[in-house]
Amino acid sequence: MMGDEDPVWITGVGLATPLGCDLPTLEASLLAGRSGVAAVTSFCTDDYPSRIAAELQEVPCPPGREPAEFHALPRLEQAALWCVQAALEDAGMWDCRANRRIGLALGIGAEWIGLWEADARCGGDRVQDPSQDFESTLERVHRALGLTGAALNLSAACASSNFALEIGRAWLRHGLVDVCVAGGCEMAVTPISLATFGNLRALSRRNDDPTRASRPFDRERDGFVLGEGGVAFVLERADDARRRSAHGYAEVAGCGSSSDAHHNVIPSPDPSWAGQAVRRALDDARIRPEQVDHINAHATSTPVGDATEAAMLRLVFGDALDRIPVTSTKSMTGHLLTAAGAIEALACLTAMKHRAIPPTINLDDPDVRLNIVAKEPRPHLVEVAVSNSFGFGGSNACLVLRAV
Amino acid sequence: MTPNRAMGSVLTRSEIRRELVLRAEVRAHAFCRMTRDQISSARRKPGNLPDGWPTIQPSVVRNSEDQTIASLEAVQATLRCMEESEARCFQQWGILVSSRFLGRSHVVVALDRFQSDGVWGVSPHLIPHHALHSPSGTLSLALGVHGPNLGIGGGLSSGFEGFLTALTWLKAGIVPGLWLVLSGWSPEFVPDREGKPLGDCECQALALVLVPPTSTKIHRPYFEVVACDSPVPTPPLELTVLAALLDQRSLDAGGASRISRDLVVHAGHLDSGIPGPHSSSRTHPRSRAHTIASDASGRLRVELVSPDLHHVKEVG
Repeated sequence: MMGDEDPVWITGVGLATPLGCDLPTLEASLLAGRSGVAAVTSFCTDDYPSRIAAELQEVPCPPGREPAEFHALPRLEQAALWCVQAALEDAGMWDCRANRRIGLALGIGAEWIGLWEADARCGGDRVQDPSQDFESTLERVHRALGLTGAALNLSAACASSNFALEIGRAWLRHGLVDVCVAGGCEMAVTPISLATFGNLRALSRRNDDPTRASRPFDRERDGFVLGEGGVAFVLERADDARRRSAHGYAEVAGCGSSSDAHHNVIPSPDPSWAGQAVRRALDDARIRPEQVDHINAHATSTPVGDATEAAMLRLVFGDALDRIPVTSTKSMTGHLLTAAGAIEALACLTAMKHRAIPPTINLDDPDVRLNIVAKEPRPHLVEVAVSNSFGFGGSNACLVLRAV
Repeated sequence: MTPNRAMGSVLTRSEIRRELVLRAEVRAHAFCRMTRDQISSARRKPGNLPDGWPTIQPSVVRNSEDQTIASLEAVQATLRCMEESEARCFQQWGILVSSRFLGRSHVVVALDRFQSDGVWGVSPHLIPHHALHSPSGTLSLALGVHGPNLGIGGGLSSGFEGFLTALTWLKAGIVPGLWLVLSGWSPEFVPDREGKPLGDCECQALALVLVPPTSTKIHRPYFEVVACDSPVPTPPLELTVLAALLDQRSLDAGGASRISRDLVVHAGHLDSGIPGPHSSSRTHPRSRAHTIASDASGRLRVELVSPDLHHVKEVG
């Protein structure tokens, strides 16, 4: 059994995102500053206050599955199946999965609401018939993929994925699993979901200019843009990965979390609570603030949230913040909610691999004092990256990734 | 079965290899069962927390899901039977809420209103208050707790997933202690088109105050996650059954008991200063460990284990 501080690596990734369903495509899109946001096409949005999103058009069918059968599954389940299988294949674990206790920790936030809505759109009555709800998406995926380790569905809203990675790392360190797949999946671009977020006045209404609607840290930002998709990571003990000469994307070096206890939706104006999560993650990674090479901000493009995060970063990093490049890739991907932390961790891996930080597009007039990578990617060596995720319910979770 | 004192493998009578993976001690628990009318009343006028805790404003819970209200009631009940000084130590504790099928009654209405009124008929509170993260977020807000909060599970296995997460957090040192609240309807809520229940049902919430094992001689009931060679899947966790087991084991350990019509509250009160009557008739359990939940394979199980009664007698 490992100790509490033994390193855990990411050795495989699987993804289904608005900017691509394989890593090279996503990396190219992120570094090209490509927006995944467009007018919603999957249903009529004429009456909606916000009519744009970063939709995931079609989830690829994993090898070995029958396409018609696969595409008949709920979209959330499709995304989870594709991401988890792709991650295990990427890690070289797929064919030997029966011989290892492979755990599964996924952030899935509004699973039942989505399933009930999708069923009702097809004329079903599942929401009024609990007998149809005998198996969760997580359990179906776990069973379909033949995994035998512990399984867990969790939600801290938009901070979920970072919690999933922390849990996966803990399971590995304490011998609960041999390998763990962790990440998040969210398929939130649905009629009811777009309506409820729109009526909450959380979404951008820049409907005539979709690719420029998500503009974190820009003075003209007016809300976030819904995104959808999923990302899964294979986590493995570093010693095990070295032993089998596996490729290590990065070490999950630090995790930290806290709660604002301020409001169910609005972030606390007191930056100390979110700052506590970041400090805990840095302490966990034994990293000093000035050792951080890059920050992927949560920054969703809301007026209050982005400003609060900027204040928090200044509180934690002090003067060092002036030399640390900050970006918000939500400007391109939209906000993937429970999967946001996972896709942003992937953006950090992209920065490490390509020695270039993906840009914050649409940043014409910043209203915060940060060293933001605006519009164009910036060449930069990234050994240590910080990724912030903050969610409804006042949840704060921070992840520190270290190059291996 | 051989008592398992240290992390590692032991053999049971049936020679099934079981490995202790995680363990946590129960400091206190409270079980709450509420009708929809009672929930409506509590939503309008949330109860008071003990001195030193925030006053819960009705605005905090005005739009909360029924299971959130029941969860808050159970946590309040737990707090009321604990020492004030302990309560102040909770500021950095974690909050986990394992709910089942959250938002069903609200979603049926949302779908109906969307059909009739279109986009503007959909409540903006649907995601903030009826998604998996909502109960734990509201509890952290109501209690003013700044440790991490997380929603767990959501389906029939949420009880198992809740224990797995709670014991993982404690083992990893992510929090010094935590609330784990398990909630759901019994029988499962079947809504009509207006979101009202078609049959009798009650909303249940069991709040547990869990801490890492304090020593090898544990005085209170404790939970373990054990890995077994032999699969024995268990049915979904029944909160009434677990609450009754906890009641019995707390009594065996000399715990406090306060029972009302709708609320059952217990606290292991070996700490000085926690009031509560002792039971004069102790019923010893037939077995020290009771499997209460498992994962789908049945190989990973959560067990409720009685404290070391001999040791309790010595110190009691």
